[in-house]
Amino acid sequence: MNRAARIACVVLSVATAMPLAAQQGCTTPASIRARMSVAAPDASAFEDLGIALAAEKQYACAAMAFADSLRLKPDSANVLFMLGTSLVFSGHIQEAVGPLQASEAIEGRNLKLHLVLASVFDQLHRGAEAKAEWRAAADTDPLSPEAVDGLAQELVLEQEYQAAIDLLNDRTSARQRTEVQSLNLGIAYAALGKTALAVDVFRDGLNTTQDSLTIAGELADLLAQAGRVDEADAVFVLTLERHPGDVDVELHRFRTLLAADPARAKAAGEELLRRAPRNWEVLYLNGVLETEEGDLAQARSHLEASIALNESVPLAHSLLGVVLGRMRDYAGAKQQFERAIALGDTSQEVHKNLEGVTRAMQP
Amino acid sequence: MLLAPALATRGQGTASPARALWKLSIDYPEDGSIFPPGIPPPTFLWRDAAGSSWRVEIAYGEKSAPIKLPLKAERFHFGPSDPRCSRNPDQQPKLTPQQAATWTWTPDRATWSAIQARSVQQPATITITGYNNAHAAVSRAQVAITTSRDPVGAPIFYRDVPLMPTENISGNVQPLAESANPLIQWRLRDIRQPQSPVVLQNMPTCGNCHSFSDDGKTLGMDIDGPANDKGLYAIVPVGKHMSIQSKDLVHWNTDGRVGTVRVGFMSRVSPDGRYVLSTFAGPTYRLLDTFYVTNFLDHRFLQVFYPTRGILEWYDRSTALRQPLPGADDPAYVQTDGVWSHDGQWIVFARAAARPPREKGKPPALRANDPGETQIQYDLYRIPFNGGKGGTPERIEGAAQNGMSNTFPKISPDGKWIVFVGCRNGQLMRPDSQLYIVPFQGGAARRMRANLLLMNSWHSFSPNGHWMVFSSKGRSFFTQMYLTHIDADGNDSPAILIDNATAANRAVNLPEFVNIGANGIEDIAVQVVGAHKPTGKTGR
Repeated sequence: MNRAARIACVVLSVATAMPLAAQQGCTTPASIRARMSVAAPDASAFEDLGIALAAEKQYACAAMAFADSLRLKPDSANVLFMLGTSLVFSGHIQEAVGPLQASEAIEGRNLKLHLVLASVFDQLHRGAEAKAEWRAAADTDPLSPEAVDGLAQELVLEQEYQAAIDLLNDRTSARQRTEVQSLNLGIAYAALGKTALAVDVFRDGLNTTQDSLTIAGELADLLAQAGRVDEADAVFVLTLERHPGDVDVELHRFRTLLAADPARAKAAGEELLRRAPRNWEVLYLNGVLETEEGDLAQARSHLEASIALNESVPLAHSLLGVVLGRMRDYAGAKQQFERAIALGDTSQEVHKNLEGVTRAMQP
Repeated sequence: MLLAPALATRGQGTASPARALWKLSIDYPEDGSIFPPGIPPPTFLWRDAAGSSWRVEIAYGEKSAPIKLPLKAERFHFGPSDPRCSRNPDQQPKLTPQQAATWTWTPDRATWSAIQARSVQQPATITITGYNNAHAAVSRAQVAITTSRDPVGAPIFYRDVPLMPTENISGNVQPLAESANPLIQWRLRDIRQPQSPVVLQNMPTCGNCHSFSDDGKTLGMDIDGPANDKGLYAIVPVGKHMSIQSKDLVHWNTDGRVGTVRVGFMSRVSPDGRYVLSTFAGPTYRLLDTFYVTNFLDHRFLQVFYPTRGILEWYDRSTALRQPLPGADDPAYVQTDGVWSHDGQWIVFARAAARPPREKGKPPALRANDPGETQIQYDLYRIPFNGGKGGTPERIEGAAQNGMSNTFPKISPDGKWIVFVGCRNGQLMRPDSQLYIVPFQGGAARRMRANLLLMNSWHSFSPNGHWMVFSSKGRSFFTQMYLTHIDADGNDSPAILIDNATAANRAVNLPEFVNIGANGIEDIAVQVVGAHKPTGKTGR
């Protein structure tokens, strides 16, 4: 298909994509009304109309105006780009691909175009095309933080960790390391077993982006996995100082301590119970801790409360089954194990436990 | 026994819940920095996710008690901008994410003087501790710095330029509009002072690369003539009050036999001031056939500029003759960036196979380091000057055939080292350029510790050889200049910013040490525009 035919298809697809209601609801801005009142406005008038409508955030209407402009003058890379971005802003992501690609075919390397197209492909879950566009953007301007962010993210998602490290350690781009870049560089190092480097990158990233919950979370997890629980906990304490009362962070801390430091976990769990008494996970994790400590009555109470709030967690049913079994309520335990299995618990433990309580119920 | 659902492996919990101190990031000065004696107080830079107030401790060795000081931290900000260069808001300094998160502290003069005095024998360890709102210590980091016994010993002459690329009515991009030429200034910096006086300004034309003789008595400078004629070269005696007049100009373009046009590239005055070494088009080519040039509207890297053909020629002031330098005059190669050893016996230069400046069918480059640039990688060579007779070029191992483009050599005053720029392609204003040091005779090249993240280029040794100044975009796209100390073994130290060298929205470039007293140049008057004395006859 030649370029003119391709652009005609683009224009047609825009016209069909736009609901009639949107077309009828367009209000021509006063600034452009006179130019549009002539019998046959030219391409430039439609282009200006599109710009004026986009300035008023009437993006669907702007898209139609740009499409009208293209009918009269099909070869404008800039109008195709504006049509594409108007479609993106009006929620017509799929329809935006055609005009943006047509613009790219005319203009070639253009940072903004590559960035928008990459983002569109990401939203459409077209990973390979997104990656190609992020790469084109980074090639067009290696100093563009947006381009480097996008390409790094794509490389890490595809587990190309060394390529991500090479990209992010490039001296020309490292000067402007963003939160996304710190995060992905740390993840890439961690994935390759370079824990010390990953910790350094995450720490430095957090010193730059002090409110980043994602970097803090990754750093804490990495430290905890390395057995550096005190340092991990210090990261949580630091994060909670910046995000006081953030239950997700407190839960993350509780989960981490539960696996590593029961004494501190207990205090954290009690604090969470005070702050979020109706959070199913808070109740569940406290139940886990109490089961470990042998406080079966309290564990049962919290696990039942957790299941009452969210009955779809197999582990909660399974653990409640354990607690009930130890309390010799075999029928109740059997019911919980069966429920856990029904919800997808495929572990050996749950099946062994089910067998155990079933045997125990036999006279 | 009923089995509990699998939980994560339990590690060894510690009994002490004491909070580990967070490691804050000290960005400047770097650990191991060496400061020149007498430099004004530097501004410490750090980022800290934990602290909201800070104290500093200064310790000298293990025996003395550290000195503790509260410090009033301020957010990082750029210095004042030049309003004449503020037209385009997209071409102004912008904070990086790191800079936006950076805190700063500048010690007062008395504190800094004390640090300098006591950090000569042993390093001063500067510890910054962060405190939270409850006044508990929460973060810490430290750097060790020393003060060198070696003074810098000479001022730095540099160009101070706006970065204001423009598109003229024909659509051609120029690095600077002709009307903005008077905004270019030259300054002289005694690094012991907080500011650099302007010694040359309001030049009605564009001045370019400059060099000084080693004895500090002679200045050479490219000067553009009418119609963008790049063929003028001023050679003047250095003094407190200097004047560049028509009588001081060499006008290369009268040459009819050895090249038609001087290409205006990297001229260097010899150590004794008698000769000038420069790159010329050679007898066969026009200027346009010898240079790859592309300008961009991107102020960060606004020009790509390097020769693809050319020979070295030397000009003798005593005879006014200019002649090719045998061994560096082969038209099969481009030979450029020629510099003198400090005894005047050797020339080190960059060489690559000659090629047309533009490759047919290649899309135009849209930015610096775009694959659309003509690809060229230079190697460094040396030849004896031999009274102008030259010799056989010898490749400098470590600075050749190493996958990089090796350019812009400078020879240390003791003759032991060559510092050069390595980058992927071409030379000058390369985003990826880094400084390397290699023995003069060749050997393993070392990437220098002082390199910053973005563009490290144009360097110059202090006359005593202990310091090197260089320019970099490491901290700002508006180029700044830095110092590094170089010891007898060629080891260099982390970069020390020469602060306040120009406005935040102007760039420092072409820094060159001058072997004169601190205020050896006070003003330079240029009185030559439109009047050029035709000199520079060829000797061939």
